[in-house]
Amino acid sequence: MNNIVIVKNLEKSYDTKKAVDGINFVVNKGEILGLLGPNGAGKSTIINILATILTPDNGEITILGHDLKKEGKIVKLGIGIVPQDLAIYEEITAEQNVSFFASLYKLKGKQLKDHVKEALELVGLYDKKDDKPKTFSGGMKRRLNIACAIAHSPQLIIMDEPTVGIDPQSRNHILESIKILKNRGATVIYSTHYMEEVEEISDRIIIMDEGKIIAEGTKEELKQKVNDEVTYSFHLNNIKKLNKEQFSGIEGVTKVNITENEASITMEKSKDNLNEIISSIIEKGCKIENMNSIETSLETVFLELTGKKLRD
Amino acid sequence: MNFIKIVKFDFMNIIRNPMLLIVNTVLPLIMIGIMGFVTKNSYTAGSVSSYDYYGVTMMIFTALMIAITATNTFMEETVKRGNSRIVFAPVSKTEIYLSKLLSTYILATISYSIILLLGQFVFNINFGGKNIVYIMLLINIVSLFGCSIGTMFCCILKSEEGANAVINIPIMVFVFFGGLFFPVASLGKVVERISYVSPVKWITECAFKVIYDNDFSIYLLAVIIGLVGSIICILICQITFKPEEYV
Repeated sequence: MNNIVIVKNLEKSYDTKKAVDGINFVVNKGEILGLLGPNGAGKSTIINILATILTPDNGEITILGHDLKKEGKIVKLGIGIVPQDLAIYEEITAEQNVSFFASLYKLKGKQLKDHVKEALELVGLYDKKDDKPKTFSGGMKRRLNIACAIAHSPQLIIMDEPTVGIDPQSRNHILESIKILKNRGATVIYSTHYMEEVEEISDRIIIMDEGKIIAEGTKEELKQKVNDEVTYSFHLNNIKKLNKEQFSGIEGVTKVNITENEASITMEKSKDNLNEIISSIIEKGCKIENMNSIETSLETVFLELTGKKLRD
Repeated sequence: MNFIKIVKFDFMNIIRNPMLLIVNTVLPLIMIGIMGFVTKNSYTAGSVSSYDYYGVTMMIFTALMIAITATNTFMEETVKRGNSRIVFAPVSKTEIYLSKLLSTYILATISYSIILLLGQFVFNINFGGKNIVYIMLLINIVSLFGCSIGTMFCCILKSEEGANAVINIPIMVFVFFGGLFFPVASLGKVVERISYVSPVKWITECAFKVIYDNDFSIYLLAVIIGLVGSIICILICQITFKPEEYV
């Protein structure tokens, strides 16, 4: 079984708004799939449907070889969900938290104890196992939230914005833990609107907007989609003397943006007229203080594909 | 088996909350003591002392107010977060809300039975003498009804605060017409007639009949009223509880 998740024609509406609009995708065994999109893109709706707590209006979903509609309970045994909001009990110890949730997945006795230990070690909380989460920092609570989801060693782990509002150290720890889980054979669906996290850990990325998949592929493939253009950024003195129109005659220029102290000019890669651009700037009496070409990032890809920034 | 695990876990969560523990153990005894003491001069004529009267009525009142403990067990902020993860586990939606209801009901059964026994044999409150088991069962039915009301309002209103705010209205209406704080008959015949709409009125009347007249004529009816009320609440839970709204 190479496809851990197969989603076909998935649809879900709330009143008249389509939260998920006929999407199709697969998740391959052992990969980390990044689900990227702004708030309201439909990521959480998809996750709640995959987690079997939300019923889709239409579509077919197969998870771990089981039809989600008919065998939801079996599917639940094989998946671990890290919800966006912390889902832990504050008044009992970290170990009791993980142990209780793991016990709901048919683990008991020594096997349960070993799994709890392993999960707490993975998230770096084993030395805090006897402490109550109410004494933890936000980052530690997030890590415990993950431990509770993975203690039963699920084949598929679904994470919904697991790093929201935490310190960089905890974030790094979480991202490292996810890589370890992947190395142990787990398949991960990672939903976020933090571009840099997706770039760091994902094997494949799905970009969503307004309930639809607008792009899908590895980060290299996605960058390739907008890579037929190059953008140069200039920091200038006397920038006020510059106007957009002066670049309109230069062949290949597709976009000009002038701000208070910076001008960014995009042009087709095949017609790289950088010399002409520089001449045009100098002719206007501006002094170039600094110049660089902007690398294509996923942010650029997203902006290009959706026309808006990821955190809009 | 997950259902039993969750019930046990929820029960332990209640026990860990000192406020809920006090409300369901010491507070009923304090209320009986205060009401009995304040009104003792009004109960000098007959064989029923103020402590006997308020012993029964305050226990029925406490059993109804277990609804607040049920809402707390289900949706109190600190436990709701953890509870929400259960939705993702291989547990059905019925098991989720029933586990909250049942754990609260078990607490009520244990706690109120001990209070009744203590009241009868230590504080000499008349809870029926040899008929005390029937009074225990009656209080038990009321607490099941209370737990069901609490759970139902949580399912409908999706929050503890909302449920607690609304729950007091029907309970206070039941309590008023049930004559738990003072006999409704003293307010005239019309009010007395209306009072028969309240299931609490039937339960209270039944309890006094069993205790003082050894009369079981409306006992079965009182039990059925409590059970039917509970079943209706549970059916409403089944219809209104949506796991995705709990997350």
